[in-house]
Amino acid sequence: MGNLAFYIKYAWRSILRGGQRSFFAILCIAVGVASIVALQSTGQSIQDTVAGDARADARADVRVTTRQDLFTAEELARFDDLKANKTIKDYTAPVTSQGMKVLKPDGSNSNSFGSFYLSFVVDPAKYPFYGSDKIIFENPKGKTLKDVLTKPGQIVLNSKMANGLGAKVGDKITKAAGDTPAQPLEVVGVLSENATVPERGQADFTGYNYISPDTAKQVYKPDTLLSSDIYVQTDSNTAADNKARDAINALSPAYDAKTSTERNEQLKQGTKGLSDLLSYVGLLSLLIGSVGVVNTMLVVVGRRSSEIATIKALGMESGQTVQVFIVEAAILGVMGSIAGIVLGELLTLAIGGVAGSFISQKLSFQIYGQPILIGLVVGIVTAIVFGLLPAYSASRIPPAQVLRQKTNALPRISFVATLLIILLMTVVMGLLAGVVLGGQFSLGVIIAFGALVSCAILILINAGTIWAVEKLPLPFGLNYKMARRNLGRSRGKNATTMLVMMVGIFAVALVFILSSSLKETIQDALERSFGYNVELRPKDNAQTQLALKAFEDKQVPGLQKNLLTTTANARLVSGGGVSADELLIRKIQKDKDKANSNANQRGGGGGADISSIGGIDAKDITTFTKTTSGRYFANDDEAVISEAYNKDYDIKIGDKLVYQVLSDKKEFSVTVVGIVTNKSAIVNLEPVQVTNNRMASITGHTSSLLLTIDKAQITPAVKYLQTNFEGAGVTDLSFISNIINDLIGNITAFPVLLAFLCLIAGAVLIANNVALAVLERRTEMGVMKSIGADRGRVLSIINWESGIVAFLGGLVGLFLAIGIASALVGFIGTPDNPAVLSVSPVLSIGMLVLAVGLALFATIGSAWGAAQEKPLVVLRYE
Amino acid sequence: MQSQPNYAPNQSGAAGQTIIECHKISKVVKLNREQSLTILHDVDFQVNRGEMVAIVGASGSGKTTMLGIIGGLDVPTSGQVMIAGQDISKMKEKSLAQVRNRTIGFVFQFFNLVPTLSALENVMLPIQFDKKPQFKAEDRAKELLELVGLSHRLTNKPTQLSGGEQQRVAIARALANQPALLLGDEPTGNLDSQRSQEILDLLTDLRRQLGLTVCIVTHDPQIASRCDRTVTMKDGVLYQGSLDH
Repeated sequence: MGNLAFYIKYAWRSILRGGQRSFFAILCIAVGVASIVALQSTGQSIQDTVAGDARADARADVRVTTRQDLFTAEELARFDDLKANKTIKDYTAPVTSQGMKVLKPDGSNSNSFGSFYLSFVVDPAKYPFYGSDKIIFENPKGKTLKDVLTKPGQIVLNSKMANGLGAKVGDKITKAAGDTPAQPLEVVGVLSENATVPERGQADFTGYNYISPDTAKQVYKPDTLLSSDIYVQTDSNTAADNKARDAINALSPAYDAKTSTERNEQLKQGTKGLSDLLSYVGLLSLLIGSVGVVNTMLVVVGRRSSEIATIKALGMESGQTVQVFIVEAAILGVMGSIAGIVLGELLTLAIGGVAGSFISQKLSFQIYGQPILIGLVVGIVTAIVFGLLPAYSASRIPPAQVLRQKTNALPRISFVATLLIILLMTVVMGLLAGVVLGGQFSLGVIIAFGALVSCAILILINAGTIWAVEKLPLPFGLNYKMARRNLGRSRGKNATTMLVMMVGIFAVALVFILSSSLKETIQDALERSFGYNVELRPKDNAQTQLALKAFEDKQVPGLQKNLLTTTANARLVSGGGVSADELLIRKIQKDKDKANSNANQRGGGGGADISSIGGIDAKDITTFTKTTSGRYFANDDEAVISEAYNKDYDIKIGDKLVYQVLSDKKEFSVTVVGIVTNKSAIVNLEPVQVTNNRMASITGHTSSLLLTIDKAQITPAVKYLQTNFEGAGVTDLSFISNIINDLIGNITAFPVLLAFLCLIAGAVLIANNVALAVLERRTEMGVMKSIGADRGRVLSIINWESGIVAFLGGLVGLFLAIGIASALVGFIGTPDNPAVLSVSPVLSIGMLVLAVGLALFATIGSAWGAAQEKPLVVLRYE
Repeated sequence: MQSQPNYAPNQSGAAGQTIIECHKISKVVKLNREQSLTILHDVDFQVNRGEMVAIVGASGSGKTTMLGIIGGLDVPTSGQVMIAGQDISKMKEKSLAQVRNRTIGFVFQFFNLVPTLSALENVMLPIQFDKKPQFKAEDRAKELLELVGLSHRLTNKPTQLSGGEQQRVAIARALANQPALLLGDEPTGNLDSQRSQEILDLLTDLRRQLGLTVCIVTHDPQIASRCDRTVTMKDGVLYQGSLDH
């Protein structure tokens, strides 16, 4: 105990004497701990936000979806029965409508998505059962949907839609003509920016509104107003929820009822991957910070080798020397962790916005205890573990060194001892990683060893690169030459710095390259297989025929090609002689067999919807698909199905599919003659395709004519269509690429930010290394000044050194990112629509400039200090 | 006729016989807010062109501070320092760097060669630092290394040279820009007696051959005895001649 007090006092004095060195060691730990605290807090905040109050988030006690896509009026009646026998308390069936097009009063576009907004048709008396406080009104303040949506013709806008239109409460807006005529609507409420969207996705981008069912009947075709989601109210306890769920699921295999608690769990599972990703990035930052601790401690020990030799000459044992330095590392760890926790909380605040937009929700800042505790433990243990090697080096300093000239050189320690210490460090770091990853210790140790091996390989490669550059005489003058030579003096340290810069640039470049490649691939696929930029939705069959005639006669300006597709709300009755319910049970069983956690989800966790059917002409279907077996349809009684449909429901060639039309209950059937696969990963057709003629014979079908218009001619073409096809909906589809760009932009912003965190950790390490290098070379700076070098030259030499290392790190990181991106991009392409690897020269140069700029920025403080070094230092030998 | 290499000292600014002229220089350093320490007390010191002077004194007497001020490595708190006719006590950093580059050559106890550069490159350095170089760096460095007897060690790095050889390289580097004044800080302090003797011989030869002014800080009475004159520092005060302790 007495010894410990002495060690602490001794270590504390050494830290104080260390000044700048101690500061940088603390900063290195702080950066790592800050990343862990910030990212873990963000992860928890995301989980809490996504899966907060289960009932309020679900806005109901039980939510029901159907594998038949939509609920019919008859089906809703079953819920009335459940209500009557008190299995459920109440229910409501909101409708997520097709887009509502609303232009600005001057006729211009009100958003970059073709002026389309999503409408949520809700019964204000019932919706929502819970969480009405999430539908926050900006104006009138404190009101609910029930208070304002009192009669038909009223609309509540979310803030995005209100801003886009420049509309306020009391204004009249006009729903543009489309499937139904233009319709004026009175704005009776505007939601706050903090209001929660009912369904994440499209509404986040475009903006949305709430209307009542009565209003919906005025602005939409009534047969399109079918619900896909039923909100059920129970007695609001688990037993009642479960009872209701079981009763609903027993009604039909198509139904998928989930209690709010189950939904919540699913959402939590969904964000777990994200939380894990955040933890990994935090670990990476910590690793980078830890390298800084080792470097600092090695320099600290090196500089104090004479002192260590002296105290050993006075009788201190090697073991005690190790303890002294471990205590010093621990104190640095405590200070770094505390600083890191404060920094981490600030960082949590800073990244909250971007993290929020990643999950399309606003994150509320909250201080969580667990990340702080983890940060503290991880910071201290890391400092101690990474202090081991230098401490061991210190213990090997022979006391006889006290008699020799002062040197910073450390004694060589045996290969076996080094290996054992590194193995021990890796295991401890692995266990720490396990703590950060929520108790996955074996995974943590595997990651730690993986990181060790990868780092060792990369450092070797980097050291080789630095060696090559040392030998590379380029005509950049004396300062470059001196910097180049200096690199070789601490090749290992420079290789590590290069690695850190490489990791940072690799991460940032990879995200950028992947996102731009994704954008280009999608656009390329859209252009190639889709490429349609204007849509015409005729009001009836006659108009469709007129339009096709006009296209044939080349009357539409700039028309290059056109495509007719049709859809209708129909429901599969049977397939291959098996009832639809039976087919659904088959699919559910298959999903369960796959032991997939997604089993029992709506639509069976992906796959083909059982009732979706579409029409397309025989001449067009070959553009989008190719047959894997059988042939394309030759008449109106034949159909082709997708491979997924074939696998999910065991429907084969020769099977008969019987459908019932939802609007008039008439039945029709088609025979499967072929199985097709999509040529493009982007453009998906319905799983069952028949001829347009077949679909056109169905009551309530909708036709869509997609046109490719020469870009320069879009405006006159749209004008022509509007004038000549009265009552038809005409939409400029160029906004689709905007949606894609926005979506990818939103998804990639957060990973970019995380990658930048690694880069910043790298910059701190560079600052640390330069500071240490400068301190080690004070005398040399003095010598250069004593023979005539001025400040500018000293500054320039140090900047060259950092710049070269950062440039090389950036270059290797960039190449690595391009290599891995090209491999990953391959997955998003298909043979017919190969992926595009998008690496712009601007990005490449930008990454290198970023690497060098960041390094110079990190260097400037130390370099400036070195440049100011008094040449007199050359005459002082301590 | 074969042209002879020019080793003669830089005469720029040489107005008269005196090359170092210190007038009432003092140096005070602050220890903390209240306390300060006076290292030099109103020191007057002159050295004539071509002279070889030894500054001796006990540890902490202020002789290194004195050498630093004469060499433009440090500035006095008060007083005036004239080197080759230029007042360096109030010079800006840039001009001071130029004086150190052209007018003064330094030889240190621990040689202080740049470890990453070869012997030749070390000697070339001051010429390369010069904004308007007077010599072709490589040719001049080779000549000087030949002069100090190291023409066979041009490409060796400092770690591949013995202590004596390193000090020879350091002397050649000090002479690179043909300085008027050579300052030595215990130039033999880190060498054995035989190497010390060789370096001392080299310095005296060069001084005679090149007409150099040499000023050396030393503990070694043998060096002092080979100088024209000795001054002694004691407690920040300069005394002419050597003092009996």
